[in-house]
Amino acid sequence: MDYAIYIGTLIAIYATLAISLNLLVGYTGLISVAQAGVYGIGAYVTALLALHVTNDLLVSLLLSAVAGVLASLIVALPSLRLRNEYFLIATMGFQSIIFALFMNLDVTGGPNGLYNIPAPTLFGFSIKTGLGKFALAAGLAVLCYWLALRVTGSPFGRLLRAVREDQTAVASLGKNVFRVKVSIFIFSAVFTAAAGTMSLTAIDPVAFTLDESIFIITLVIVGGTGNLNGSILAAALLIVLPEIFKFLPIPEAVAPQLRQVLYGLLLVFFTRFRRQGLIGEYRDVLK
Amino acid sequence: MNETTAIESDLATAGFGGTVVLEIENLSKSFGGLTAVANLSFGVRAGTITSLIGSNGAGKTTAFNLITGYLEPDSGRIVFRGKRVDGLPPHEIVRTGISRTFQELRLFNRLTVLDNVLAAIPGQQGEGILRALRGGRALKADAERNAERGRAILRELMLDDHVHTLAEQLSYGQQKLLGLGRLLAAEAEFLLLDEPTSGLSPAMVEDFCNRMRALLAAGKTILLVEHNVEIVMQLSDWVIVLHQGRKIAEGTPDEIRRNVSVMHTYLGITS
Amino acid sequence: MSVFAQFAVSGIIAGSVYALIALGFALIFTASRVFHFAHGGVYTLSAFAGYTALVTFQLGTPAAFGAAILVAVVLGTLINALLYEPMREKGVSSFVMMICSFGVLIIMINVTAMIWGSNPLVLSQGGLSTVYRFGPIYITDAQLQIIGFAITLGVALWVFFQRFKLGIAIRALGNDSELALIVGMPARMLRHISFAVGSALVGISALMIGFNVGIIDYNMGSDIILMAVVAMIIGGLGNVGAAAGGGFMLGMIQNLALWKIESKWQMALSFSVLILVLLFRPSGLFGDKRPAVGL
Repeated sequence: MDYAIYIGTLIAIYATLAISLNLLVGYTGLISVAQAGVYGIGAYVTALLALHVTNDLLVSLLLSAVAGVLASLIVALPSLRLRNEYFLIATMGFQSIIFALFMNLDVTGGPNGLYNIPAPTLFGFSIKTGLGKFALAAGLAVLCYWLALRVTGSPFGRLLRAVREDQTAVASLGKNVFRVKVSIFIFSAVFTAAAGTMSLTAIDPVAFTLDESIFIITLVIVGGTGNLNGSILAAALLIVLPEIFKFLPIPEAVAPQLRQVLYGLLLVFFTRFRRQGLIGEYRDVLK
Repeated sequence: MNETTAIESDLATAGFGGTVVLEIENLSKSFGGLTAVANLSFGVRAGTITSLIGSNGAGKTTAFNLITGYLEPDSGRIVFRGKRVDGLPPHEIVRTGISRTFQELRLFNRLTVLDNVLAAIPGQQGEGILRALRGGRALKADAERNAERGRAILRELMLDDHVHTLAEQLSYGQQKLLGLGRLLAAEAEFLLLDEPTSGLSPAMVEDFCNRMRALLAAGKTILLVEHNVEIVMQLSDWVIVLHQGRKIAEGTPDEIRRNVSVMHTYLGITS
Repeated sequence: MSVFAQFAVSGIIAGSVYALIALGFALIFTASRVFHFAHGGVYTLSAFAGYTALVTFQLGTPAAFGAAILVAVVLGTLINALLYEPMREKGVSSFVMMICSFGVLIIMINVTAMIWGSNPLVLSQGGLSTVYRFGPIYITDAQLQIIGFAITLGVALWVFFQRFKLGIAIRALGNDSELALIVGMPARMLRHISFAVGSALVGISALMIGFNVGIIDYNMGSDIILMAVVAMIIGGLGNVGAAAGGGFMLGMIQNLALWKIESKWQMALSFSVLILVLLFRPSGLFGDKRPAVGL
């Protein structure tokens, strides 16, 4: 039962990450692989705060979000004028630099990361139990989903998709493309970094590599770009599926690699055969 | 100030009364060694249809791109309604009242016809993310109003059967109409139309010409790039002929028709 | 001073390594305009194929190279034929192909780990390697081979692309489809050839680099392919020569920097250079004026 709650917490966190990235990739057409870095920044800021200053949840969320947004802007502002693939590679560069900072700075604990992080407190209550952490993560996911729905259903959401289709045309209609992109970047960063605040007792920098960013992109692609429900479903699927390996006669050593192979297969399959994702209509959103 | 007077007097001798709403003064643009536009000067009067003609490479689309801010001129000025607009980014130029279509259409292909038009409506309340997040009834009411306006425009264009069709699924003629629809939604006063009738059937060409006359009657000003000489002659109040980036003649359609050297240069190149 | 000289030599060696990989990668990119990340997977598997031939079956060095090349060519062309070409036909954008390529890379390196284990394996030709000494500098025969091969290959490919019809046709694939037809071969065939040759090159390189380092492990491909991408962008996407130049630059930057910074910051430095180039000189240090910037 405890284990199920733990899995649920993971699903909630990754659903938040996937929805946030989907807004960038699926709706606006900004393909970024830096989200593991932003997620990590949220995690490290929370951990450092908890270890040295305060473990109040609201303060952590706020400061993590701020740090995440700042990092995101540092990535985005110079890179937004680059064309598609170059933008992606620029984000790849930033991701690698952020990871190097996690790995090599003393303040972040270097390759050992940070541990013995005190649990967050909310209005004086310490959130230590698995159930408490799940409630937190689920709450964040629900908030993220709800706001994302609002955004995508609004005229702003329509602008996002228009930008994805043809930025030049959007500019020719008098709308500020740059403002649109920066806005959605900030929104996405807030939730990505906030996801990093969830359920920490220890952080390992290895959790925030380029591979992790690719995993989140996989969630978006499998769920279907431009499909928020798909992102949630994909998060559930891709986290639960490898758990099934535990019931199969697969040697311990090979299990993590098999999981990676599975993710790779999903990426290949969905990009090659079913670009609309698990439940998308064939609208060829990802082109 | 001298350049403006020169343009004014040109147009005045042709018997026009309207004010000059767009002035191009000594505009030049080169790409590497290639001169696209050289010392181009002309004016467009309010409430008229002015056409830019010339063979391929004469600089017509470059002129459009310069006016609408997609290119920065090497030298020269562009003045719209008394304010300088050269050097401004495209979305700001649009805010001054200049709008354009593209030769390659540039529709929002995977958006519906209605969304294409709605995306063009200026001053919508929900277009900032913070406002969109806040939501509320005022937002919904604004969206309703805009949707009604969008549908009205589509009815005008006889596209209302296709409100929820994806733009990429329309026929070419319908897509061109949709492009025009976006401009109408954008409430543009000064329209730059880049080859609006190319690729259309004769019936649709007729339809477009009627619509352009209707736009004029509604108080808009149109600057046109067209290859079809007949349409140009039929439709325009004023014609400007470009060749290799320079203006070689301008005048009423009749004057241009009578201008033998122009017809030779132009026809000589196009035939 | 001699420390500096050794850093410089390490820089040349590392630069040659990167240039080697970047050359094959750039050849493939020139022909297909895809960032073929799976190239790193091909690299890894061909090194392990060579290992299998040499160490597991004791078939000797030439057989090892043969195995590496064979595996590389088969994998490279299969990936193109089964994945990129059909996607291209459907009009899929090159960045979706890039994501797909990532997927293939992930599959390949993890399959390698599953088959051969996650521990590094020792790859040696048996016998001691010869170490040469030039003044204060030490350099092994394996390293000299790498440098020599990189330079030879760089020149050969440059000549190929400038003077030979096949090369010109391949170059034209990216921008001038009419020119691409001068050899009378359809574009798809040209791309297959490019993938085959590019993969063969990476197979040879993988083994040579494996001999130099002395060990191979399943991560070797993913690490190096990122560097190849960085090299190619730093150098410029226009041509293979620029990519090789970028490789050398990268190697030099990484190693000369050791003079002042600790080795753990090498990667961050490399990616910082990448970003600076992307922002301030997107066409690369040596490349054609094909801008990466655009609205």
